[in-house]
Amino acid sequence: MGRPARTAVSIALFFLIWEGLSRSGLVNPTLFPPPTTVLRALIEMAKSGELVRDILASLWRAILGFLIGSSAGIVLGLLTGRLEKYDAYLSPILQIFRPLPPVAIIPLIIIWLGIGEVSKVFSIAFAVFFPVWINSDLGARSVPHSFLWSSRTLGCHYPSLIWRVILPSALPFIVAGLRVGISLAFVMVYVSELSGASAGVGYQISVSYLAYRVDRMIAALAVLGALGLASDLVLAKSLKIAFPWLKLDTST
Amino acid sequence: MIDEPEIELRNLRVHYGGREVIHDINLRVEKGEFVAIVGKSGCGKSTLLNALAGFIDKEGDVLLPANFGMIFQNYAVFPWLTVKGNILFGIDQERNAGDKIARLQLLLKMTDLTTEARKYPAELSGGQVQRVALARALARNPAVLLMDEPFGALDVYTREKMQTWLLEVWEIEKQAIVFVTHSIDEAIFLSDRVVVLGDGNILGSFRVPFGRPRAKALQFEVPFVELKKQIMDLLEGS
Repeated sequence: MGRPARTAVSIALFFLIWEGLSRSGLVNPTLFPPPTTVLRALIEMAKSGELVRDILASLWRAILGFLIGSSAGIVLGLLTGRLEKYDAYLSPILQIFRPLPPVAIIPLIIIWLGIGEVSKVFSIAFAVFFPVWINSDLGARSVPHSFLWSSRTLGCHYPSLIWRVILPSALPFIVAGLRVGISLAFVMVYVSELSGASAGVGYQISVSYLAYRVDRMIAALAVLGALGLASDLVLAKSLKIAFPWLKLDTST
Repeated sequence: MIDEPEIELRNLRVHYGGREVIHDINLRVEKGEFVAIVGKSGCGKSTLLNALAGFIDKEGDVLLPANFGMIFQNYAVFPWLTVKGNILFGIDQERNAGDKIARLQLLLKMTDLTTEARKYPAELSGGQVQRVALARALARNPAVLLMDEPFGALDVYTREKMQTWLLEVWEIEKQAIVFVTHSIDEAIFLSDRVVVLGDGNILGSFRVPFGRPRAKALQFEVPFVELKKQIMDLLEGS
């Protein structure tokens, strides 16, 4: 049996066992609804227009927060990783904030920025920033001496050295940071939508919880997971198209 | 009248962690001269070259043209650029697009990489990647080439092909070359003069008496073997 067939069997078994367990009478089907009920809830959400509204709201927040957090992470990471002055000024402060769980800052952000879009996007950007920054910093520090020395003999110096040599050389590290960042973005989408939202997948989970609609909660969770997975796949695919050498170069 | 040298080192010293690793070296390389530096591992060959290039701190005087090319053992070819992109890296700021393209095409032809121009380094063999490194260094018409064990990572067959090929290219361009290697055979086959380095000092210098072009069979001839033995004896006594 090939790998795709094994995967299909595994998924089919997972849903069959779930369906069987929910209908066996051993568990309360209201608390543990079978997948067919979850699917019905999902169709109901799609028909009412809630699904599209929630997906668009969450995606917009995730993408904006990811873009802001990762851009800042890349720029500051390249500077702290390569230039002593920036490292001395910025790294100690950033290292103080880095161990904080991003979820822990949400109450403070709400007090400072309110419960609107700004605080949600900021929380997501905050969470995305740190893994991207630390990986970009590490990537910039790992640029081989021979690359820098060659560039010098070829007439390439700061500031163009940053985007012509340091950035592409650090790219494998940056990509690793971006992929961690995109999964964190979806964690933060969920958390930030728990309060002060009127749309979004996290909001849907929250209102379904209050209405005791476990089937809708599971449906929304599945959508959130699918969004995170799809975003990671789209990011990986786009990076491969934009930087074909990344998949070819095995030395990195 | 004595001609100005292309490269000159006077009283060159290099320190690492408070320890002197290059001791008061004086060396002169003439225009168009091919000098090989041989020595055991850790004797300071690469350090000498890096100090000469200005990559590491040093004491003493160094005369080196500003326009020089450097080739490393680990290639230092940029994996994110194609063969064409790597070769153009040093000359893409030049205004005359026609000159740039003509130079690129000449170098691709000279390095036998015309059909590989759109490939990335990861798609090439070790010998091809090293040819890209050389073409990139030659693109700016350097007066001097510094080569740090450029063929050290290649298999014996590819290494020999690259040596012959390097001499062919050098016959056209005729830069001064300082070529670091741990292979005495390679040093004698390629150079006009072999400088022997031991523990950060120049132990001796041997003029290579063979004419050019040189055939690989040269290394089996008696004068070649005798010269090799003299260099080996000097290194073993160090």
